Amino acid sequence: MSGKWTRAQILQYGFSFLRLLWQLAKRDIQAKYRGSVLGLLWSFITPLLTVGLYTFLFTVVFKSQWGEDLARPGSRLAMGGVSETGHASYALILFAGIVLHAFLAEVLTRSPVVIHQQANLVKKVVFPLHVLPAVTVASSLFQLCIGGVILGGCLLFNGQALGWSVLCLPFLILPLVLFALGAAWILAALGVYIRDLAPVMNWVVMALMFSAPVLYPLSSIPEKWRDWLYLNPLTFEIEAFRHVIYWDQWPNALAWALGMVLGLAFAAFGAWVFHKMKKGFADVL
Amino acid sequence: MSFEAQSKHQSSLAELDEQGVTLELAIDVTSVSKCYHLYARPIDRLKQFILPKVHGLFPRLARARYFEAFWSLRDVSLALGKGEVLGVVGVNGAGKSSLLQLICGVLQPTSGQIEVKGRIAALLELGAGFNPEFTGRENIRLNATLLGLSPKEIELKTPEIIEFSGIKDFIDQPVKTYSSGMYVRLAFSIATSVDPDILVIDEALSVGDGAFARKSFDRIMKLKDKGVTILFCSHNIYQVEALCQKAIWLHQGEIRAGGEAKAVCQKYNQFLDQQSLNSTSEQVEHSGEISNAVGNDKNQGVIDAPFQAYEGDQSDTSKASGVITPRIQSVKVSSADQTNAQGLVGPALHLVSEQSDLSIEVGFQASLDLPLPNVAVVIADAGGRNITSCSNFYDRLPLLVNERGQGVATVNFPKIQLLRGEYRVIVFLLCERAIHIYDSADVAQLVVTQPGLEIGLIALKREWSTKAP
Repeated sequence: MSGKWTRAQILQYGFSFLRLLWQLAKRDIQAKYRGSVLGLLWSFITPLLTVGLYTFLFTVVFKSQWGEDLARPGSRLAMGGVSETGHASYALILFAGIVLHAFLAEVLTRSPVVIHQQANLVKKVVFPLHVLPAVTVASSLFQLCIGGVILGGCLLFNGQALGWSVLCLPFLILPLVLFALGAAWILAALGVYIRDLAPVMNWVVMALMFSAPVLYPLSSIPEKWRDWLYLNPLTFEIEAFRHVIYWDQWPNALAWALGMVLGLAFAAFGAWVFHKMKKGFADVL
Repeated sequence: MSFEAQSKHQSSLAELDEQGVTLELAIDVTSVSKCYHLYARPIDRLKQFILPKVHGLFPRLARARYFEAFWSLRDVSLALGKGEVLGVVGVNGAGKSSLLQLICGVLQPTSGQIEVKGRIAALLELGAGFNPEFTGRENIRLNATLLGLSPKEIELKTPEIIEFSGIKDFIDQPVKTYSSGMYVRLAFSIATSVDPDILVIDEALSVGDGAFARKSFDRIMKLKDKGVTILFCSHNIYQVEALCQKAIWLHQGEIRAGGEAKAVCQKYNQFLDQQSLNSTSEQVEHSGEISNAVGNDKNQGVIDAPFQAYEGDQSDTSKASGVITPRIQSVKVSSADQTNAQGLVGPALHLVSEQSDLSIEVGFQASLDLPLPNVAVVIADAGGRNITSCSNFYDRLPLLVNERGQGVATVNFPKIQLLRGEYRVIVFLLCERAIHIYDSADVAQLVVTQPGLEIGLIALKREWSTKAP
């Protein structure tokens, strides 16, 4: 990584990095379901079951409690006054948040162990270790994409039209992906030295769920606390995501740009931390 | 002391270079040191990252150190031109493996610089980069990507790699189902199929067993002839001498000697002999090296077997696949005066110094598809030190075989010139260049007695004369 690298070398390094990332991510996804009867289908089945569970929960179990709130005019969650489909829609609104949270959660819980699961690659061969945390992000991103497709399908099935703003979704999630990448590098590097990181992350993942509008609408938070929630990177993403899907509202370009800048900075910081910490991996693995 | 030795080494390398055209360097190692930090707990490593910087801010605090340092290489320099073959010798723990790993880039030097030009194929830790869940084919793709091949090149090379590895039927199985032999075969095939510029070999000149061992040896030789730069690290001094122009001898992390392979190996041999005389503990290590050279674990059990009828392993696996691996079929060690009731007592052959004739008859099976093999006989002392050896290769007697590839080589030692002591006879079947070992057998123990009280190991042919002036 010295300054002696020519542009061609950097390009070549970048290409082989991406090729490796692609291969490893593909295998990582396949490996998850290898040996199971339904194989890759599970990637679709589990989210579908989740949707089913939430739909049941909010159309049957919590019907009385949440129904009024949903139907109330002016509520940000009111679905054009159609209370019949309203419950199912509420489940789908929740699902949108859950899909995004699940993406981040998978990255955060898997990253701390990703290096010492591959100790051989650290100690015995020359391997671009940077790629390993990125693989975790890529394979989680695949899961997120499937979740998105299922969500879209369910919405259409539920009789809701999707607007053109859906096209911005791949770009909308970029800041979150960058954040996840930065976090993956940092956690992967620290996880080698601090084995306690994995259990801690389970708690962090839960905290991220409750401090973002995953299970509740942002509007249900008192005004004075609302801005604090934006410290959670999921908050902006989930809110913007819902607005695109349900109300065909384009996200705030300025907020997105800010997210990109922060995300890039964080990813670069993560890469730097990983690069620095990498030198000691072989000493402790 | 080490510094002198080092500068001497550099100058001798430079001299060698001057003889040729100005060499383009393939490997350039400049005063490299490697210090291992041994940490009690992983968290200590993290503290070591951060705390020195904190201490930098508050200089009055005591400096903390969370590791124990172990220097495995100190100030090592070497330069290797394109197409050169460098041998690295040294006892266990001398830093040979560290040096190879540093050159391959697996380890980072603590100080100093390493420059390597070209693609390295490392024959160390074969298969360590495999992902056990991946199939053989997927691992080929993955490894080749790591070695910097483009998808197109990989597509092109894959059939050749599969062909060479000889595990076509299993290539789409996960490699975790492979036997260790299949594992190294595949890894070797990948490493050597990617047109390497530099080949790094740790210990063995061949991998696998039987026919594949020969095939892998041939491939290494082919790469050598093609002008690939080779770094060869081995305990087997004979092979280093046979293969390398230059060598370095590492001792306790420092270069003890460097330069022409023959000279370095001689110095190293002297050192080993010295060691085995000085201490018995070193002797154990030394004998370990000999049995390394003997190789082929399957024959180790033969040591205690009656010497007269050593039968080569008939149920060789490669025989089933239709390829004959050259091997030793029988070895008969006998003495002409055996009938004098002096001969066989237990598994040892008793000889009288300068009276008994020793005859070693080696029956072997050669492969008609390969050039004729060579037979070598080594006589070593009980501690494993080689006393003497001979082979028909250097004695220039080509062996004869019948139409089935079987032959017998007999070597006679008339009036055996060994002094009293216990010796072992080890027989080798070697390739046509007398480098690759097809088979070996530690076949017999000799117990030599003598009427007189002469001391030493060898009774040289001699003529006395005297006169009274």
